[in-house]
Amino acid sequence: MTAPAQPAPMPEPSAPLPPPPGAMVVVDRISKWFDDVVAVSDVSFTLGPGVTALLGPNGAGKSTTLRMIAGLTSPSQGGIQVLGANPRENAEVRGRIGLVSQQEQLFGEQRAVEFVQLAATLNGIDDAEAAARSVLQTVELDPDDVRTISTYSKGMRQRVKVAQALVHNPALLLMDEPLTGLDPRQRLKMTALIQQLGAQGICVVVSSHVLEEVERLGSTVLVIAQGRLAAQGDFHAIRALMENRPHRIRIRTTDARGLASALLTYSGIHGVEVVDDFELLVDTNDVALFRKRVAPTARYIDAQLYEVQPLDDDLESVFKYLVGR
Amino acid sequence: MSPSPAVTIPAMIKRIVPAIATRGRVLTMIGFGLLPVIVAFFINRANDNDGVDDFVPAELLSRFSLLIFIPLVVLIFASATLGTLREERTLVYFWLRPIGRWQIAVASFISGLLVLIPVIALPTLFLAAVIGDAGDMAGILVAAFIAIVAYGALFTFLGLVTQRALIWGLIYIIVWEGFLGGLSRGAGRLSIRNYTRSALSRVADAPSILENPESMAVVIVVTVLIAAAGLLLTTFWLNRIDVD
Repeated sequence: MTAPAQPAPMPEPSAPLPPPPGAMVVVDRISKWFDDVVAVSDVSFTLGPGVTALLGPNGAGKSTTLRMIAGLTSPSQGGIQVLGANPRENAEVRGRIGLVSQQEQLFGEQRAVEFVQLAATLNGIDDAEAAARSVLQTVELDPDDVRTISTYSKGMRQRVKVAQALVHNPALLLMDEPLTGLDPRQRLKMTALIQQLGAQGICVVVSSHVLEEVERLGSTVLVIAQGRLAAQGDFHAIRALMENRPHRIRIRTTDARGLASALLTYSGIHGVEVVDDFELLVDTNDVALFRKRVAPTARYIDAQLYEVQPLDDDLESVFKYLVGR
Repeated sequence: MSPSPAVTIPAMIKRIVPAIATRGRVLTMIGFGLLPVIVAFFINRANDNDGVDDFVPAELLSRFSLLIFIPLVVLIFASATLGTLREERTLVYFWLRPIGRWQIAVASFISGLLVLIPVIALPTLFLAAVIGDAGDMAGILVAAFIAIVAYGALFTFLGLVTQRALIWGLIYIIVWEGFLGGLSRGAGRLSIRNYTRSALSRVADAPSILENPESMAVVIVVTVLIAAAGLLLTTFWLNRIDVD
């Protein structure tokens, strides 16, 4: 999937999504609702080998989308094909999926090697113990550790989950917030491992609500917000899209009206709202230019600046903008 | 390549058994099961003293063990096999594997049996020893085994379907097995206790347990059918549920 950032395509209802060559996951106009709550709405995309990030705020529908790809739940509408089949119904396909779910619970009274060995056994690995020991070393856990998983830190448990998902060399690896709970060093290691797996031709799907995490993965990005596919493309294109959006900035000053008049003469500022004598709201799609000019302009009209505050710099606002385009 | 059930089912059993057979749960149930032993002991002593035959302990078994103790213990353990996995959200570690879902159902069912047989057999054997009759002892054990298999399959399914398996199971035991099943012969044939009591009556040769007990052949066939139905329902449900 290498398309530049652009609005998510909305295929005609009568036109089923043709799977491109090499597509490992085909998501075709899926929706999922729970009673009255729409978790995912009319989302389509295809995934091939390499790392793809599902980026979006909490509650955006990322985990639900991952669960549908894994076959853990059916779409209410639309269809999903993983490696050419429905993962809910095809056991062989399930054997090629690895899942690092977000939920915390593991078989706590087992040792890590036993837990991963069970995963290997159920995936038909001949020498399950050797496979378990090997993959535990990959995620930097000691296979000879006699402690049970319940005594592990959150980060260690996270790595156990990754190990059980990798032990059978899956073709598709689904990771729901895999960096959660890891310390900075482990984050770097895990990021490198994810990149390495993607480079090996595995289709790795990583969900995250942290922009910087996705940036480090250097991956293709699907932005999901409010259950919809808001944008897709490589990370740089998504980043540019986010930065070039309109921004709203609140200014507190001694002369709101004078500053409003002066700022309106600049290109890149396409709206000014005077709230009262001391406060105004500025709409711009060139924040860098605005920041450069606001102080000299205030000085020029002999006004004092008390506060310059972006109102929509949080990720939620960015996603909201992408959805609303 | 899908792994062999001969490998996967024991692997899952090895995981499920310790999860359901917690020390507290096992000791509580064995202690509960020993209650009729004490009661039977005193009744038997009274019988010895007054020379009355020992059908009273068989009745006691029929009423307490087969109607209350065994269904309740089976409910607690069998519903926990898949219920606990679902509740703890660890079912995914079985479910998302290249194995037929029937294997998960069978592994859960066998896990339940492996825990239930000793938990129920121990107090039951004590009870039989107190009664001191070989026929009663055999009848009790056969009836208990039939109850474990039949209730076990149903309550394994119930544990998967609802998080309130204990409540629904109790309602079933009390209302259907205990009350409606006793209203008429037709309704009785739809209750498991009809077959456990038939087995006890036939093997222990105690006609006072049940009027017109089923033959052992019918008891065995019905037990197998109930177990098969329970496993099929569990497999069907495993195929259609959403897994966390």
